[in-house]
Amino acid sequence: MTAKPDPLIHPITRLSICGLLAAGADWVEFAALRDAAGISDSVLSKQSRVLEDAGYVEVRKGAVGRRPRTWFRLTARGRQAVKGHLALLAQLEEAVSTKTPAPAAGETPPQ
Amino acid sequence: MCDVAGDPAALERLRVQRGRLADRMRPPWWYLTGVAIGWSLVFAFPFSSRYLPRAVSTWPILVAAVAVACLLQWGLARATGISVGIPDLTYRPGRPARVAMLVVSLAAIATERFLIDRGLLVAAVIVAALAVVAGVVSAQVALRGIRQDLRAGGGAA
Repeated sequence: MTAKPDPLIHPITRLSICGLLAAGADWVEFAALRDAAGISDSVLSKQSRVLEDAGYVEVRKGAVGRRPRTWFRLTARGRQAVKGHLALLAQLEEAVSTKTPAPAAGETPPQ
Repeated sequence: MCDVAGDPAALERLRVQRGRLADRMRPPWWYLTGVAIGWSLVFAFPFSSRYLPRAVSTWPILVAAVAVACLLQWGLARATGISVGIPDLTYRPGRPARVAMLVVSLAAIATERFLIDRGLLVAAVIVAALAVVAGVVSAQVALRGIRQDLRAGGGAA
């Protein structure tokens, strides 16, 4: 997988949405995604629309009785972008962890 | 909006969020009961094919078993808010459990037929009951595999 930054997934809320949708589920329901990401209904609606317009996320709307139900899933394009972006973040995290040695026992880390 | 470049804990936060998503993938009380009913229909097949007329012994039982499986998947997706589709043998999480159950099913059906042909009905019922228990256990193992996969990010770093 080529590590590649994606400006659309760069903001933390969209990274959360896309990262959760890339976690292995086929479709994820609105409330499950909102609760897992820890964001509000309005933020999820707004950011999912941005991702949908970019062709990263597919949205399926339905209803159970009178209650509307919205399901999300990543498109192939979205999945590729997320994988590339997450690979880049993993590389950055690894680089930071190798540069920052763990404090020795009894040593106080710098403030 | 918060920026990932200024937030080195972004990946760690994503791991926590995945953990929350995985925790939702807990089956409701009726799920394992439904799984037991579905497998009971499958392992009742050697009995029905022996003792019921041909018209009622095959297709109605097969259709009922498939209907129960589809209803369970639909109900689980509705209850948890996470749909993983109908997991076949190409779906990685929980695959060892599904392969093992396929082998157990074939062996159990063959053993049941063998015992029924020799008039050992009680032994055949015991084999069917053990196979149903194995089916329920394999469903639990498969769900655990799905939860682990969701927590690990499904290969997406």
